Amino acid sequence: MRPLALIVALLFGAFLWLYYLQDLPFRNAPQQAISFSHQIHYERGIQCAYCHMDAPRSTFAGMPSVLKCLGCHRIVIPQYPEIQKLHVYWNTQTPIPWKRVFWVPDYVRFNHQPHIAAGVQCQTCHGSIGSMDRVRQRVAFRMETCITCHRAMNARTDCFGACHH
Amino acid sequence: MLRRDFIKASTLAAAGAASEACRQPQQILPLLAPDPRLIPGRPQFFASVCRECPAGCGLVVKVNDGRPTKVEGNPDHPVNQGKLCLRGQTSVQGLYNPDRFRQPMTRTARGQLEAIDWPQGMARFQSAVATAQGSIAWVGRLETGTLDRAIRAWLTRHQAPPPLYYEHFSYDTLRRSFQITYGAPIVPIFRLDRARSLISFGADFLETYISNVEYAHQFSDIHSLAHTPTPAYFLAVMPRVGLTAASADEYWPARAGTEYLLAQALLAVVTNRPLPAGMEQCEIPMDLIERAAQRLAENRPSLVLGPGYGNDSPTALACQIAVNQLNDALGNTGQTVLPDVPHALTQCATQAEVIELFEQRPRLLLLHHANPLYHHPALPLGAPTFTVSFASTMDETTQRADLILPDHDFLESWGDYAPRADAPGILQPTRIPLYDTRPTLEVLGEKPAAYSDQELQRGLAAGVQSAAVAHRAPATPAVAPNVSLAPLPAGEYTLIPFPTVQLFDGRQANRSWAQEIADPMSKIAWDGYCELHPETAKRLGYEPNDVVRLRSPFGTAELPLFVSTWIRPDCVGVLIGQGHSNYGMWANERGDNIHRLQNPAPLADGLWHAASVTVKLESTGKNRPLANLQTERLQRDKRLALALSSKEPEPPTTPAASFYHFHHPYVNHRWGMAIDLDSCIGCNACQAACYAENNIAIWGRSSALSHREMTWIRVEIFEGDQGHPSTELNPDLRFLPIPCQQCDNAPCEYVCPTFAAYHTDEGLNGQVYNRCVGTRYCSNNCIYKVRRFNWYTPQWPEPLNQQLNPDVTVRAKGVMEKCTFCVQRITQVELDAATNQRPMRDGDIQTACEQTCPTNAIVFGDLLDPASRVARLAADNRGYGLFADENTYPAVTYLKKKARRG
Repeated sequence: MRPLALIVALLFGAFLWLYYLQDLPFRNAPQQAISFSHQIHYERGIQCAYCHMDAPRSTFAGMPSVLKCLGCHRIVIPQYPEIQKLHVYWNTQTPIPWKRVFWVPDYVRFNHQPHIAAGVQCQTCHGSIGSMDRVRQRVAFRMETCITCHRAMNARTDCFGACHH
Repeated sequence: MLRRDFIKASTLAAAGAASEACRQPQQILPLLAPDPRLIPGRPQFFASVCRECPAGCGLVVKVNDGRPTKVEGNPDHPVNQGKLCLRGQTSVQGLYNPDRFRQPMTRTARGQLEAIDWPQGMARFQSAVATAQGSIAWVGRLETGTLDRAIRAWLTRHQAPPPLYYEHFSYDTLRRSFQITYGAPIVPIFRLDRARSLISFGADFLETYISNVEYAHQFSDIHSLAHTPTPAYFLAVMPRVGLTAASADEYWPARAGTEYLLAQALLAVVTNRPLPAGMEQCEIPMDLIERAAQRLAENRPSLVLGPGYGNDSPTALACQIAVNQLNDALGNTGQTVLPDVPHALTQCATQAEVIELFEQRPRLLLLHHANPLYHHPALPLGAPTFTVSFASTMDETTQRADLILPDHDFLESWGDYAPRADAPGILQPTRIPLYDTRPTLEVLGEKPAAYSDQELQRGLAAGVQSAAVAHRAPATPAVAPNVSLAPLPAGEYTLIPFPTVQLFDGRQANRSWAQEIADPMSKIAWDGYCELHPETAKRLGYEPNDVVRLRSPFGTAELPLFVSTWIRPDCVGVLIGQGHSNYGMWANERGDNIHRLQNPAPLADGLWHAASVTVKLESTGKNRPLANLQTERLQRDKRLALALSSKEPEPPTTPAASFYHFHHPYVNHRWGMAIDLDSCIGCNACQAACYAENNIAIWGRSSALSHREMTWIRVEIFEGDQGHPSTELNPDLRFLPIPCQQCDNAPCEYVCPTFAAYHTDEGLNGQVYNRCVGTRYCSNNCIYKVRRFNWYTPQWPEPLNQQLNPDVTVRAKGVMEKCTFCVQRITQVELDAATNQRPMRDGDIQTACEQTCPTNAIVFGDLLDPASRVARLAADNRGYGLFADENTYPAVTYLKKKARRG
């Protein structure tokens, strides 16, 4: 076999292995506008729904408003450099441009509401966010992931009615 | 490793990295401060009022994350009671019209329009007002309430005459006749819902006449078997069968212009007086007239409506006066005709007043959402008149303006509008203004007196300036004007300019839904046309789609020909609303403006009449194919749209025996629909609602010519043939809305190689877009032809993409799609019920088509629930399944139309 073919095959195989099977540390962990640490907040006992309050009633879990962040951080470490960035956003009335970490393709109609109602823990899909400084995707959003859980929970597995319409 | 090999290998690695890079994260922008009314991801709803026509229906606007995406009727509004017509549904397309003005514009010395900013625009406006010295004219759409007061106050302050509210459908004849018979020139309120018998001498009350949604709703209440066990009798007398006449029990194709004789004859029979002379001109047998008079007298209260736009002939005033007298003689005044409750249309200027104003050449003309030069192309406009337009988009009048100060769209504005005293409505902004526009109220700088608490408590009733007419029955019958009908000159044809429910007076032509959805009668999309009877066309040697030149004493128009049996052979019908020259990307280049054919001046009675000319027809040798989406009107024993009748053969109630069929085991629900053909008036509102809800693509004329239509619920029109021949005197027309039938034994499902079309556990024929590879086998195998294929990548020119419903996938090229019974609505109601742990009730889920249907012809629900409305209707003895003998077991039940009573 020619060495080129071998190299190409190896590289391609490595690419597939990395792409589909490995939870790479760089993957889907964007640098955010403010280096927000979920871990610090989680360790201080703040519940997910305190900030992501729309999850039980909407498709979208919701992001805390800038004012909500300020509600604590006017008092809590206001001089910390990252919190100073927050003050700049508020003072210039600019929404914080968070980068999206978790998403599903356009043809999947995911809705948080029934998952919260069924008692699914946030960590089931989002991974152990509470131990992450910078959020990254630990659980791959593959159809298999959804289906396995839907079957286990005896939830709808109807392709069209449940997800793809 | 060779250098070449290294480059090849690194290219592969780069490709891998690029595929990762394709998934660049999007941004999530949080709110600055929390808004308790706003839950991101869930729609908000705002009540408002529709300003697409003067009917003033109540709206509920659905707003997804700051974008209005759909409008629905407000169930609490007295006019439309939760329903909306096609035009109302398109109002979101008006908001997101790609042709809207982005900022103020002014005309330069070289005649070009140039963008300016608001301070410059305001300075020019104020200097124009100062130099006009009171020679100011206001021509604007009908306003009531705050804006009306502000305009009047502003004009008074500048020593100018009161505003002329311009509506092309201004009911001049109706108002003059009420002046003569009832003593006040008003547009009255009609109460169809109280009538037991109904005659229309041309009023197209299911299409454009005064308040079409309200009248459609009321008409179905008295006329449909679904809503009344004893349907009222409806006789239509008009030279052409439009949507209104298509729902009639009896139809008289009286000679155009002789309607007044028939009204006088009915009056004579009812009051035992001698018949008018010249009855033979009507071409209607006397026994029919006597029978109709008898039916009117027996079924009281009754209601007689006068001429509409299409037969507003020189004798229309005589006809309307006779109609008023007939109503009075039958005791309808105060019952079904309310002459002491004026409609807001009463305040409109007459066409004659508008024509006179333009001829006076005021120094400053202010145009507010009015396009008189489209309807009256001969009107003079230009120097010395300085014209300021507050229009949102370019139109035929605004293109001659010197200064354009664009107003907000009505969905971006505060406002109020009351079509009548008991139906006041407040408009509220539903989004941040898209462009640098400014409300006209602010431009005028008027601060109208705020409403007092008392007024607010009365529901802003002061919005309509009540004419306070005390009804007095005419002591002596008002003298009918002495009219006579000249014989039609040889080789000439009476011009019937007919408006439609879709295009109204032409203002809807810039909405792609109004263009893409085929006209309910002709089934032609995207074009203006003229209509001739087959006999006439044959005699003149014209083929369908030939371009015919119509020549009136006042102008010519060239229009492609549509041949139809539903018009008198001595008439030529022309569609109102197309033929725009400068009204945006959807409206332009759709034939000639037919208003050039009309008489530009008022007639001897002082009124401008829409249908006062006869035209000659000339061949042009040209041909323009019309996009006709349904070329076959006969049922040819296919038993499609059925009516109750003893003569019509019943379709087999049980399907033929089959080896293959099995019933799907439904556990929770089986969604089903019932469509009442006796209620359906064919108005196409369901189609527009479906387009808005389901992100259906618009392909345009060339695709329509190839029959590549995308609508998920088409409304077909058929003539009844078996035992009920559709004669010219009595066309038997039936509308058949066809959504996906969601068959239990669906032909589409068996043939899909990728399992994209499959059966869900709730009875829907699912269509999984991401699995579809576009073989189109399903469409070939569907016997209802309801599956639609995306031949191209759909385009929504900015900012129309903001209208898209986020709950529905936007389909791509190469994907099959079809009606889903609004599965996104089903799912949301199911989820909400589960979250709140309450059972779902019948009626909780409304499909978009059902929600908007003005006559409640569509009922959606769960067939497994024996108490649901749809389950009861499925077992109704009028019910049948379309092609039920083909073993498809459809989930849609059609309810037969009532037998004709002609």
